[in-house]
Amino acid sequence: MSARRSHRGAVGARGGLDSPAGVGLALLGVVVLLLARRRRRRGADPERRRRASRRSRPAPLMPLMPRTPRVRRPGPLALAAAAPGRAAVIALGAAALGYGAWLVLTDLPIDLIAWLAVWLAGAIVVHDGLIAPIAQLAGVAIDRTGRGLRMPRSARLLVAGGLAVGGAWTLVAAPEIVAKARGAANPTVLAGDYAAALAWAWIAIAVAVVVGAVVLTSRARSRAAPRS
Amino acid sequence: MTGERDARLSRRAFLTTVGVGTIGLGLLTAGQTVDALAPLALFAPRRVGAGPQGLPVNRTAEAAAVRDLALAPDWSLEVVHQGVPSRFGLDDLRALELVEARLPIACVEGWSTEATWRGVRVRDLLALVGAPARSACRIASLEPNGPYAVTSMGAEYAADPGTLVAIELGGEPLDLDHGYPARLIAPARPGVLQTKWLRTIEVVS
Amino acid sequence: MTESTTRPRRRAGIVDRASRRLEERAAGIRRALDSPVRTTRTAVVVGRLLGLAFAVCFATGLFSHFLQDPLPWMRFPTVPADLYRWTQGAHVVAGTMSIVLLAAKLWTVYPRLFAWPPVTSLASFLERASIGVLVASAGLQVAMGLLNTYQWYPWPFDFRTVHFALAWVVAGSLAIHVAVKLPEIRRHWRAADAEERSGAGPREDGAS
Repeated sequence: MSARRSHRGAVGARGGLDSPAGVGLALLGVVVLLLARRRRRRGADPERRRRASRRSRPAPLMPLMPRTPRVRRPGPLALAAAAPGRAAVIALGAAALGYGAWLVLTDLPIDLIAWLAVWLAGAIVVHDGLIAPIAQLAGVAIDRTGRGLRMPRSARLLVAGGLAVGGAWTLVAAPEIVAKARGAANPTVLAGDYAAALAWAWIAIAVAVVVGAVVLTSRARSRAAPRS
Repeated sequence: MTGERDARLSRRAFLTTVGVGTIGLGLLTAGQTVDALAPLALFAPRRVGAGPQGLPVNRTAEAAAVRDLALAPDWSLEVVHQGVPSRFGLDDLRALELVEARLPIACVEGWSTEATWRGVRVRDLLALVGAPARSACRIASLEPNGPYAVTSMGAEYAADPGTLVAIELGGEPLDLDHGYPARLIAPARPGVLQTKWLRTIEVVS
Repeated sequence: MTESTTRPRRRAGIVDRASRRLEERAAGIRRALDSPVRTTRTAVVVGRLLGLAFAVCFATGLFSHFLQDPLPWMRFPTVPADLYRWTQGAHVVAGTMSIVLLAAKLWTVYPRLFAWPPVTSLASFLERASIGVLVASAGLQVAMGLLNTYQWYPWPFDFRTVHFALAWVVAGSLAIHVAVKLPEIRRHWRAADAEERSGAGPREDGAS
């Protein structure tokens, strides 16, 4: 009675490395690995290394940034020996991951598996290629405009924060507005006016941001130039 | 050093933004589950109290193609035990001992509303046909097809005094979209398993 | 014939030039993305909230799944009557809030996307692959969950099947991620420890 059975694919699909796309990806991975090895060997030349490091030195405060590895990290086997708890969790995680992948491969027909891969890739592309760059540029633009308007840092951050909250809520409400426009199965599904709700949310954010920015800016100005 | 102060300000601003965005979004949607937050739930897909008899509808009678079958005057609930069917028409059910239960409809989509149901205890029906109260059952709806047209109900639900074959909602006969003539309502179960437009209860254990 | 002691000079090959250009480009992007917010400490603070939200979603989601598709030996509580109401309400609210938390976490670690070289060993490839899987599946999972509450299904595959499968993929890749990063997570778990370290200089954990 589970719906799973009805979706059993006609082909005993394994997908993955069997397919030409999989082979292509594996080849790409090999090429990238060779490239990386080559760079490191070239870096052995001290003159070259000095020149290279001057060109691509990471900026000061970036504890997150991965550096070109001069230090050999312990390989996975050494890690497993030193920290069996962590290794066990990784193994369990891999098992869960494998179970999920197995469910996909056995419950979906091959064309839907391909579509799922497309949607998964799409999730990464939409975030890393669209949302994040736009957010980054918006942040820079607000910072520059704010500096031009002589707004203190706190006010610039408030504006950026307000925009971020509004943007996030818009991402959540926009599909709701579209779904309602497409027509609901009955009037109790998607019962509210979501375009209006989103508009009100933006108004509330705008009011809070404007009031806050004005207060912060005037306070900073009076602190900077105290006249009796 | 102003650099340190600026950095701390940026970090605090970021975390505050994340907090406002997250909690705000929670408040804007949680009202479809938590009644106290209902007035804030501007983004919630369901409204508390909307719908016939004050309860939202997921699958309408029309969508389920059961209008004619449900409205048929000769409808009866079939309770099957060891291959022997017993039929209970709406009047037969009304003649039995009716109890009231206050139970929520909780949908997989996250919304839920409590309601007052009135009907016959499933365990009483099972006793009438000679089956033990703690019996696993197969429940069938008048719906011709659909993923939940036929479902299973564990013995623990059949034995529970709160599990009813409901014929009234909020003091009135069930609305057609809420499962007229009779629907199953049990505690702690998802809405899709609270079978509407009941056809058969078959004892399987 | 005298033996040459220096390496013979060759015109830098096209692969080397492209690789160097990419390295510079990546470093430039990382510089542009630099922010006092993008630190390991922030990643831990946001990450643990996101992890909590996902844990709630996973547990309540499994409960909901097995209520509908129980394994033969399973028995469920009938008390309290509101049980499913709370678990499923928590599932949807936690899932919705995790959309914002996920966006915040990805914002924090975004510069890591431009690490160079992208892969240095099999282990680093596996780690980056598992993170790629985590990001893709978590992103799609919360998006599908959200759209399900709107009863809008723009994808061709069955919602329940994929939502259940991806839940395991997210849980598994998240477990791997936390286990791999555990030393760094521990180092930055408490604010006091993190502040000590930020004074120690920028070169602290080059581990990717």
